[in-house]
Amino acid sequence: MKFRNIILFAILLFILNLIYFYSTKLTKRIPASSNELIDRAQNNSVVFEIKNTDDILENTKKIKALLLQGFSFTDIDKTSEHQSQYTLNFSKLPQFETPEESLSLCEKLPFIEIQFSARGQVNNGEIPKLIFLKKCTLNSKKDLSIEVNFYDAKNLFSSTNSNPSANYLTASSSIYFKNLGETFPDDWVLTNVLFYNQKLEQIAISSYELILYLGNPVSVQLH
Amino acid sequence: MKLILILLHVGFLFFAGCDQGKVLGPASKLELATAAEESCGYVQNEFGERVSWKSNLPVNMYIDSSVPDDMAESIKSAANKWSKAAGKNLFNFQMAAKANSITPSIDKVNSIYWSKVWDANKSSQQAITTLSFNGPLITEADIKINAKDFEFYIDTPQNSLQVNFESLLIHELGHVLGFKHLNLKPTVMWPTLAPAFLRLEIYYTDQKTLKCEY
Repeated sequence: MKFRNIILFAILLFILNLIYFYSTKLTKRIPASSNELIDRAQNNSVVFEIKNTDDILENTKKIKALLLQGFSFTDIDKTSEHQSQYTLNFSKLPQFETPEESLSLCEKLPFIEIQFSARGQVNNGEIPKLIFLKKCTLNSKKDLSIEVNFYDAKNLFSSTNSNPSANYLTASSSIYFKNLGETFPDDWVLTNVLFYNQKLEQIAISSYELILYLGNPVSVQLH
Repeated sequence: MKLILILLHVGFLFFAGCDQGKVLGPASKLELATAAEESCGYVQNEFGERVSWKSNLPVNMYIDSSVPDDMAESIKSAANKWSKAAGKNLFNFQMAAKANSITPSIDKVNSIYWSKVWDANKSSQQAITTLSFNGPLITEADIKINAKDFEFYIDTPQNSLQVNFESLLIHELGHVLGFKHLNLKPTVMWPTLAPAFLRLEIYYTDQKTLKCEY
């Protein structure tokens, strides 16, 4: 009788725990397998054996986990009058091992598309987008630092009569606008970082993945 | 010994049975969406939540005095069609006492403007509907009609270039409700409206979209 009570108590505890687990938010219920992906990517560089596009696809989750683990977003110059230059830093990068050679992220996926969406604004059913196209280049520390200049983007928008959907080539990058209204939005959220090559092999980090990993959206407020 | 084994068993069930897993990254003070919601034809914010007026209905809109009187009637007729499809009143209209600025601004006032001034590089736009939102909630909507590059009619077109005003307004009021463009015909949210083309009913696709949020 006593033993049966203990078993019943144990089952009750188990059920309560299950209820607690499933009532918590999804972001706090990351499956153990995902944690393993993060835990395994502790070094600055992790080697992935890549023979073809399928291998990139198969390793996408691991590569994204690694990139996110070393990701930071910083203000370049806080003292500047125009606080509009930011850097996306990736300090943990994948190394792609093919049968013939070993390629860095930038050698394998040399182009980067960084997409920001205007926060809290919609024009004709579409959220305004600002897209920077960059060449992937590792710095001297073998890290990846990508500068995005909102001041350039805002100037281009003003100087081209507020064209809502256009693209422009600046010295450091191509800048695309989509669905912009009459004014250049001041609040932006990073919604996609895409690494790709001409064979259309790609690694895309979405806004939701950034929020899941960092705990909050990567946002920019222009003054 | 037996008791220790039972306690260990209970402990195991409690601590290992329902491992929450580690949180990826620092804990958030923000209220995160549990998962990206299905778009269902609506604009989504950065958390993947659908953006709409939620229960803040009806949407109170001012018709600017720049809008011709007969066109104002078409606006109300378009709104009634949405309300009828939703089975509840979605819009209230008031005539603005005096003409405001023709540039919609973030002033927490929902307005419809008739504009004779329009950017040359946006001349293909028949109208623009601008929404402001905070989290998943729309806080303001403004519609600006391009009366510079387009001519509109109510009942009968006077020439082959005129655009049916009520058809246009049904579409723009869809944007006011948070709808995106849809590329699945038939829908009033199809991105373009050809001159003299009539789009005066709320289609099944649009009703389905409507039901997702209202």
